[in-house]
Amino acid sequence: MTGAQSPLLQVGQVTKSFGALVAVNDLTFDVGEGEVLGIMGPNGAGKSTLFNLIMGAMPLSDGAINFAGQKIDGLQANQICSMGIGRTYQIPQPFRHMTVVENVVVGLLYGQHKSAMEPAHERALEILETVRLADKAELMAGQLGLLDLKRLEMARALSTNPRLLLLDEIAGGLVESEVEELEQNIDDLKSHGQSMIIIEHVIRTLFNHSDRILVMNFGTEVAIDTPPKIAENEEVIDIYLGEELDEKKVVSTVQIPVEERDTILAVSNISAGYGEFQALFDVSLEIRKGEIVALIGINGAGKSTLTRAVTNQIPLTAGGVTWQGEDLAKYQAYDIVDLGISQCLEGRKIFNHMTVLENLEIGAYPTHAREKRFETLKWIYELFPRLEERADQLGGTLSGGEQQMLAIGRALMALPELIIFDEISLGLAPKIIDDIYEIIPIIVEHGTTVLLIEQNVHRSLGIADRAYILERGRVTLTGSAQELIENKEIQEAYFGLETA
Amino acid sequence: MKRILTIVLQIFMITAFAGALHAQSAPKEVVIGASVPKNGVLAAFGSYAGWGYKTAVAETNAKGGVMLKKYGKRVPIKLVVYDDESRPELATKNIERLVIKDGAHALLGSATPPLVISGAVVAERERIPMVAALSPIRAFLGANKAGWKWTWNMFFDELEMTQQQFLTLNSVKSNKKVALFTDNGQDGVVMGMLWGKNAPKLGYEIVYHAKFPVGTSEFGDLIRRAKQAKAEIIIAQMITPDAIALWKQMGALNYKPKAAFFEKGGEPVVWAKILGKSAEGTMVAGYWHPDLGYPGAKELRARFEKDTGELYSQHIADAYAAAQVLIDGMERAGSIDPAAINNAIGKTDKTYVVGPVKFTEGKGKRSAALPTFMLQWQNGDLEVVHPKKWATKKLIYPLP
Amino acid sequence: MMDKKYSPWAILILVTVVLAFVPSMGDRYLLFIAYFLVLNVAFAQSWNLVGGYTGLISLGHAAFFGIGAYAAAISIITFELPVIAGFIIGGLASTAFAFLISFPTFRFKGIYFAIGTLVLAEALRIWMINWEYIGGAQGMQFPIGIGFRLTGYFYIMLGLAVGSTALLMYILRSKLGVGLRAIRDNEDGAQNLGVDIFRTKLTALMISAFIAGLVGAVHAGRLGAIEPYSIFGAAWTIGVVNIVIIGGMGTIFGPIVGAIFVTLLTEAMADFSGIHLIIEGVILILVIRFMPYGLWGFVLKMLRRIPLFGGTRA
Repeated sequence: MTGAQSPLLQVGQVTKSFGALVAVNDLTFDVGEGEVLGIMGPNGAGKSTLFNLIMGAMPLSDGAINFAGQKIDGLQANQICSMGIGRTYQIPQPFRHMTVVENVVVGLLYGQHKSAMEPAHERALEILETVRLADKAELMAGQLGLLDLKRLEMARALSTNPRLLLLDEIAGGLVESEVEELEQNIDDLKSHGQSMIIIEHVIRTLFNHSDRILVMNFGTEVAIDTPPKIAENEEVIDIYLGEELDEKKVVSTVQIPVEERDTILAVSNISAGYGEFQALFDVSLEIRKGEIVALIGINGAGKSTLTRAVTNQIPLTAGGVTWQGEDLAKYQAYDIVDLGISQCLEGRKIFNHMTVLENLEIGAYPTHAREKRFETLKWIYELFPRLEERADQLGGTLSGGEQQMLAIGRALMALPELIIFDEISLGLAPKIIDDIYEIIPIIVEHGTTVLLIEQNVHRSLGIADRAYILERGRVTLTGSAQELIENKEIQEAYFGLETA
Repeated sequence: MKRILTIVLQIFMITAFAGALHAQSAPKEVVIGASVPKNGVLAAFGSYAGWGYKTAVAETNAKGGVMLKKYGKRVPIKLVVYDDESRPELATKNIERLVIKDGAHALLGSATPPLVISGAVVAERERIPMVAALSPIRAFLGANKAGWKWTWNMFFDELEMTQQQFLTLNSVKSNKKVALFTDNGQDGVVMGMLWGKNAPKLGYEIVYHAKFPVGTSEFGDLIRRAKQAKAEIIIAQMITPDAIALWKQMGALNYKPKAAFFEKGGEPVVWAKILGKSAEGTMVAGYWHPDLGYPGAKELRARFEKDTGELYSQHIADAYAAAQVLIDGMERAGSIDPAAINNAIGKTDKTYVVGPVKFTEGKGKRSAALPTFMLQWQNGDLEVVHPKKWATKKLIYPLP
Repeated sequence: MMDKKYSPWAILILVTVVLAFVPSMGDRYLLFIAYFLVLNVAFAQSWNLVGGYTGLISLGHAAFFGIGAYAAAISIITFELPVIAGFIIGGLASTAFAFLISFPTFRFKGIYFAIGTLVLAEALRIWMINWEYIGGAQGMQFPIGIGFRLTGYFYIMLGLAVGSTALLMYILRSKLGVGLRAIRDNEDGAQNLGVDIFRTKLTALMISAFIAGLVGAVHAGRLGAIEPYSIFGAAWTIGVVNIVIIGGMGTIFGPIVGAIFVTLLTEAMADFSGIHLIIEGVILILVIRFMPYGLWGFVLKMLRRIPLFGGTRA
């Protein structure tokens, strides 16, 4: 792919920070004419931010981006579009109240600076044909299901006739057969010499189509190389599986054999999804009092959906959830905290414009927790002395790690029986993750059961009693943490690759 | 023979019936239309005007209606009133609706120049006579340089009104320094200018003149400047809510003039109600008082207070008289022909509850100026304190 | 949402022809109501272009209306220009104002744009009240006898109503219309497909302001006397937003249906002042809750069940 002429896209020492958070850090790479570059990395690695930077959605903090020899950073998205870059969004952004064909016409008229409606309409139908959406051309885009929306994203990106196409998770959230269809589209484009950058969580897709792969973590480049070399790269494997721990740092706190404990949460054969998109298939799991249970899966495996299903935030299409023997379906989502289930949500979701203390006090919402809130607060300050130091500071001014501590503290203020940690290590530095993980056994000793939802395999297995591996909405492996650590299939399950 | 008699009788009856039919071609009712502000900042004026119109019409109807010579009978009056919410463009729309939909034969005006003028524009266009009250004469005349043809206005003359303040104070000692507070409404602009002209002629000095938009509620800075200019007399022309704010803030800033005149704003009873004791001694020029001895004046006040349970306002008399002028004009015209009514109104020369009313020709075209005097709030009631011949109570000076 | 099976042009022509016969029916009250109806239609279409089709919730439309009215009044009264020229100047002055305010207000999106335009309109109103050259709070009076007769004003306003509706229909089928709706549905998405957000929004706002300015100018002529409190009053904005939402935002005939509804309701409730606002408010809440595309959207939904108007596919 490398040639004498200058590359199509040059990203040079690009940095983007949001306050203290560095989303993209000193990133440099090229994309050549006709090349397909894959980008992978855990959630929060800065992949979508990178696309936003290339498209001019936000200014760079440092560095430069050149396209076809011209500087494009600082230009507006519509100017960049005119120069020949098209993109799709991870979460489809259709014009909901326009027909499917009109959605494509927008790009044809504006992206290619034309004004005749009739030819644009005809061309739009041709493009829709290539993504198999022609039969729905006259429907409102808002009526489409997820697969069709992804097809429409593709069609719209193509409508501007881009020299470089940015595809963000074009297969995300789709089932096997659907992924294949979109892969076929990528193949077709590639065979026509289309230059592309692809962000993808379905790693097989990425490995199959990319000439080179850029692996990112914490906004920085981990590796950039051909797919086979990436698959062997130790550092990359570590990111996905977590570093192998020298020893099991924390010994399980379970004193009474697990089998003899009461089941507090039982999930039986549930299915759930969003509209036409099914996210969970026949999932069962149980949590017993005093356990640490890990739920492990890559992005898009259905972990968050499972959390929502368990906490009554989305309806189930099959199966049921019982909490201490009672069917949860008869409760409302807002009853969940009163019942004794607290969540520490992905992305922390703290109240930015309230002080640390106010954030914590809001956590003590159930009556019994309210009565004991001063004791609980004292205990939380013992767990996280940093929070006491910053009690009067606004939540939004804390660092990422402190915010995570605050989110945990707030969840604990409700004095829950079960606490759900949803990706608490996301976007945090390893040292801080260590600190937070050390707290978990103390919480369990204090009488709270823990459900740990994680991408990071080794770290979560290092602390859990038992674990479930979730893959494309199904539980594919389960067992004690020890058994799973020794199981080599995990790597396959994770990468979806036939490891050599 | 009997048969012939029956036929003759039948013909007779038919003829009589036809005659009756002919007599009935007199209108079943005469429609008088009015637009008044029942809501919005001028709602207080609207309630007085509405009551005055209604009462005058009810009195006429109690006698069987307005006597129309052309038909040789009394015809009841139907009064149709729409709310203009203190919005001029609605006054326009209302008067239009009154003429077009309700078939008004004559019109009564709203209150204050913007509302009256907005309605009068339609009366002129539609050639329907209108008698307007509650709109100072010069502001009204100034709005139509060509001269009004169908609209008759009866209210006080600002020139005369703006002399009363100075004349009242001639009998007492003051430093003769005056601070003016005028809003930028029609009345405020016209009267502010007239005070400026009248003061030197009558031996007073305007040491400060504050001008501000209608709806101003913050006067701190303006008050400080009036105080610095050492004005012992303040004269204000503004709507009631603004006036209340101004007077309260003067109290709060410890500015105590010896005499305070609040034209327009200090007149409605809400002024005294809201301000309580601090309203005592404030003055407002007036054009009507029940104790001045015009026919029916005392009774009108008693009737209003019995009807509403509220303290009277001088505006009930102006509105009441305006409606009477209109009804009398119709009787003199003897028909419902708009031009005839219009002519007849012009010939009005009679003493009403507000005193003698005669519309002037020439420069003061189509307007009748009511005599003015000075009223002062004393014990929650308005008393005439100037001129002496009409005084009902002694002037309180300086302000308590 | 638009069904291909009925012709919007046919409906527009039908409505126009019916309305054009109103003056010859000889009922002046009908003409009076019809005038306010066509005024509301024209003004509502002006708002619909930005509020319904571009997603710019303007709460400053009273300013466009008022500027049109005053610019016309100044041209006709002070400079003694022909009445028609005054009207056109009214529309142009309003367009110029839209151009000026676009720079500060387009920085804001959604509710912030709404509040920004509201504040600007109020500030302008206060300024007009204090500007002595144009009469300050006293306002301006047209010399009596100048301008058209009521029938004339009706036909001019009918022309504006039909013209603005036809213009919107034309725009929607053009490149501009595609860009506007794309911006409304998803601004970032539109920009990534090459739509110049600022320019497109500006074009829409200027067209909208031109219509609003013309409507204000013509209405000022018919009123004969204008003053800033009510001409720049927020009541105009509230009224037009009510009409478009009740009728159906982002539909061509919604504003017409909304204008018919609100005009008749206001007229029916003239004897019960204040109450019509309560009723309008309740209806507004019901429409927002149960008819996301307003009365017209609801009518279309019902019509689709009748075979004549095409299938039930959607």
